[in-house]
Amino acid sequence: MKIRLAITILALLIRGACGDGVAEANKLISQSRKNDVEAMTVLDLVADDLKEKGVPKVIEWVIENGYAEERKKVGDLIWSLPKNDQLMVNYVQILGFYGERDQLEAVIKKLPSGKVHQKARFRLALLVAEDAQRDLTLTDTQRAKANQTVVTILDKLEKENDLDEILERWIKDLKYKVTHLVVGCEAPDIEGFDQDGKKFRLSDYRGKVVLLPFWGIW
Amino acid sequence: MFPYERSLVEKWKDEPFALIGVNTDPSERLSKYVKNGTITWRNFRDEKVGGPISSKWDIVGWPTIYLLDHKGIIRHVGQAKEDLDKTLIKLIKKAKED
Repeated sequence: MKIRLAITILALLIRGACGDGVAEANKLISQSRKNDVEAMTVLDLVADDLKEKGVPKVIEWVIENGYAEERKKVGDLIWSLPKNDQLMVNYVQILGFYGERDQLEAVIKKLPSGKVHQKARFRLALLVAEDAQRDLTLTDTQRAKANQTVVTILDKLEKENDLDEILERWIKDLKYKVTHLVVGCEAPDIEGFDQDGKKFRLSDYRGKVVLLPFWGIW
Repeated sequence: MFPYERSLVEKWKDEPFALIGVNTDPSERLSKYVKNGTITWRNFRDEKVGGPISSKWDIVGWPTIYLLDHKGIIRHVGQAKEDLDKTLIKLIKKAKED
């Protein structure tokens, strides 16, 4: 608590003395990594600067080091600014896996192509897939349609030849998931050993309703 | 531990229903809980978090619950502990009709 207060006062002083104090804020943020709240406090202090100028240093820092809530905070700030391409790129870089669906759709529309565009489209596919799973009010047909949307996005992405290796793997994994592991799919068979060392298959239980928890005590 | 799971096993023992776990504990620990009567259902041994079965099923949170109908079609995927009675009743009824 004391440390946080000291940092806040220090940041305020620096801000008062040096005008925008962004470089110092940047330094302070890095030092205060031990406690999320402290970093958030410093972000509060530079929020006005962020609004006025975009403050590249803070954005850079958040891209590199930000925790989820810091990313969300700076992401929301950027979203409230007049949109330009650079900010949109920053926005996706910052949000990574935290962007919301409508925001991602806007980013995708705004950017013609490139790695960020690919990442945003993948993230959108992921969100559509998650929504389709979570929404229990969907009919089988509606869910199948949402999953088809996901596959369409992924198929198109997969064909692009400048994909990052990791994105390529994510695409493959998500495609496998929405075509094998979601509601409406036939469950992949499992072959393994039970607690007595006896070999068996999940498909041995066809004809029965199967509740299949993945669980552990630890 | 696991009173809900045990109650399901007991309640539906004469119906077309099975509780099959995919267990991520070391096998000695699983055996201990089976022996002392805590675990009353059959399990696949996956032996660790991120074991081969969990990986293939892309499980990222524990426990994750899948519910399959009598044809092996996935009917529900859930993360948290929830009341599955209504869905189970519906699916078991369907299994008996077919």
